Parts: sequence; structure tokens; C-alpha cells
Amino acid sequence: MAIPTEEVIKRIHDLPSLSAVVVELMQTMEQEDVDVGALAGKIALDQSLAAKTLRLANSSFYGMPSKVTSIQQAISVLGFHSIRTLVTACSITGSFPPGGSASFNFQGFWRHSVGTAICAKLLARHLKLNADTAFTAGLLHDIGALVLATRFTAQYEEMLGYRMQHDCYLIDAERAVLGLDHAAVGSALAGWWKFPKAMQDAVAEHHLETHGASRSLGLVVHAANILAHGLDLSDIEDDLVPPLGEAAWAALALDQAASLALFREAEASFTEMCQILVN
Amino acid sequence: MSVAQTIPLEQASAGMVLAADLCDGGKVLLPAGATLSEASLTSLRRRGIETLAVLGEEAAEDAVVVEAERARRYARLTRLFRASAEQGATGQLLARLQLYRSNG
Repeated sequence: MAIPTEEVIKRIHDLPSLSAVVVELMQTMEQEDVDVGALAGKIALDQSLAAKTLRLANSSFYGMPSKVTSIQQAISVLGFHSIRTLVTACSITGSFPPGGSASFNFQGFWRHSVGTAICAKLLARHLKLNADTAFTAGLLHDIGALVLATRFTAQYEEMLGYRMQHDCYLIDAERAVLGLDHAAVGSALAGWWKFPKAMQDAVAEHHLETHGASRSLGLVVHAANILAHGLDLSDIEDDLVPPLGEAAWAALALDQAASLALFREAEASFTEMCQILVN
Repeated sequence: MSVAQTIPLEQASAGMVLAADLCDGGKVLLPAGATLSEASLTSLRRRGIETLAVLGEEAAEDAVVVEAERARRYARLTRLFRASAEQGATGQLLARLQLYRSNG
């Protein structure tokens, strides 16, 4: 049963909007001159964001030698960039309470998203691109699937049945049954939530196999998605690795040692990141 | 994940594996990883060795579990890449992941 585009737009507009602080944090990711003090003050005033920030600062992920007890301290030891990335991530994962169609694997969805975020961060670092934007875009790349699974449960259920029957890629099942796909829906939501343009594009194009040779956020998220599937981070039994673009793989220029190190690092930070972001 | 445990010599038996070099007076009598035999135990008793560090049974079991998990993850790759293993870039990524999984 196809879903009309206008219907998707309408449901997206019904979603709770992101807090103004979070939108502001995301928009400053690509900016050079940021008023860190003012933004820190806004984070500190939000109870849940502040609590999550301190939890991350004190996790073994960062291996701080002494206990971090204030937002100011967290920012001075971890850097404003890490804090901004986390706060944004928590707010977005928290915007969708668990649920959706019966066959939708909510936990698996977020595990894959966190895995993609970590891979995107590592790939961005390898390409000397902005790692914060990459982490956030990686986390959100499949957000359209969440909109479909939670707002169009009957249609989504039917689509999952089709996918299982044909053992095809999720995106092909979506196009066949729903007449649209999660990349397009995600991009629409990213626009509505005023994500930076590069992030909207990365969400829209993460399944595109024709990424050019230029280093871009889109290329990073495309490759990170495939890597996260390949590392089996979602723990979904019938997961299927989508095809990796030839030019994207060439542009990454990962030699053997670099790729093995990257796999190892991604797996090492995965469990902890999941505990922080998906609870 | 080897769990070493220090035991008195009288509890040691042939077949146990040393967790660390067994030294006496600065001299290595038996290296870490050596399997104890009746002959080496007799020799250790003669030298007046009182305790020694061996790998616990748990460690041996752990090694089996770890190896089984590694093999499972390696096999998973075939399932995960069932639609795209033959394609250029995807195939190359698969080969890298196979290398990664084969080294535990």
C-alpha cells in the first residue's frame, strides 16, 4: 500500500520539534566562531542533557582520571565538540520513544545507527573531515525508517513482510511496497528539523552508489552505513550489506593496516556508545 | 583471556600449563606455556619449589568459547554479504573483514 508523499510530510510536521538548544548546537557544528560559554550555559540548564553529558564524561570511553562533576568541567576536559555531538545525539534518539510496527526491531535499528555514527566518525577522521558532523549524520542516516515504522505501522509491516519474502534490500522493498524510501523521508525530516544542508544531503544520499571521488560528508555516511552492516553491529539475523560505491571505496583509500585498525576501533567503542545513547 | 592461578606444587599435576616462567634463583626452570609432565614435577619437587602459576581450566574453556565466537563471526560474513559479495568494492571490503575475523 503506497504512502502519498503529502501524507509523509504531514506526519513529519506532527512530530515533536527538537529543542531550540539542540537545533542551535547542530547548526554551529560547521561554524568556526562559536560562543561556547553561552551554549554551555544552555546545556547546563537542561536537566536531562546535563545528566547525559556528565555520564558520558565519566564513562571509560574517555578514560578521565578523576570524576567530572560539572558541565564546565566536562567541556574543559572533553572539549566542546564532543559534548555538542553527544547532546545532539541524545536529544534525537530520545525524540522517538520505543514502538513501531510489531516486526520493527527498534533496538537493532538504534544499534545500527550508533554503529554507523562511530564508523562515520572514524572515516571522517581518516579523510580529515569534520568528525562531529559525521557522527551526527551517521546516527541519523536512517531516521526516515523510524518515521515510517512508527507513523505508518500497517504499511511498514506489509513492507517488512515483502522484504523477508524476497530477501531483498530494505530500500528496494520500501520502493516496491510504499512507493518511497527511508532516505527520502529522512531527508524531509532533516529539512523540517533544520539540520545543516550537508547533513540533509548525506541522509538523502546514503544509498547512492555514485558518490564521486571528492571527500564529502555524503561519501563518509554512505561508506559508514555499509561498514556498520559488515561489522554486524545491529545484531539483526537477516541483515544484508548494501553495495558499496566503487568511487567511494577508492576515495577512502584505506590500506589493509588502516582498515583493520578502523574495524578494531569501531568495535571497541561500540558497546559503550550504545549504553550511552540507546537506553 | 588466560586466567592464571597460583597453586601449591602438591596440587599440580601432569598436563597443566604454566601461566608464567617458573624461576628459581633467577634461572628459568620452565618457560610460560610449558606443559607439566610427571618428570618435570619430580624435578620441581627435588628443587624444593613450593608454588607455581598455571592456567586455570576456565582459561582453557574460555579459549574454546573465544574461538567458537570468532568462527561464528567469520561465518556471519557470508550471510551478511549474500547479495553483494561478488561486486568490486563490496567484495574488497568483504575480503578485509574476512582477514579481520580470521585473526580473532
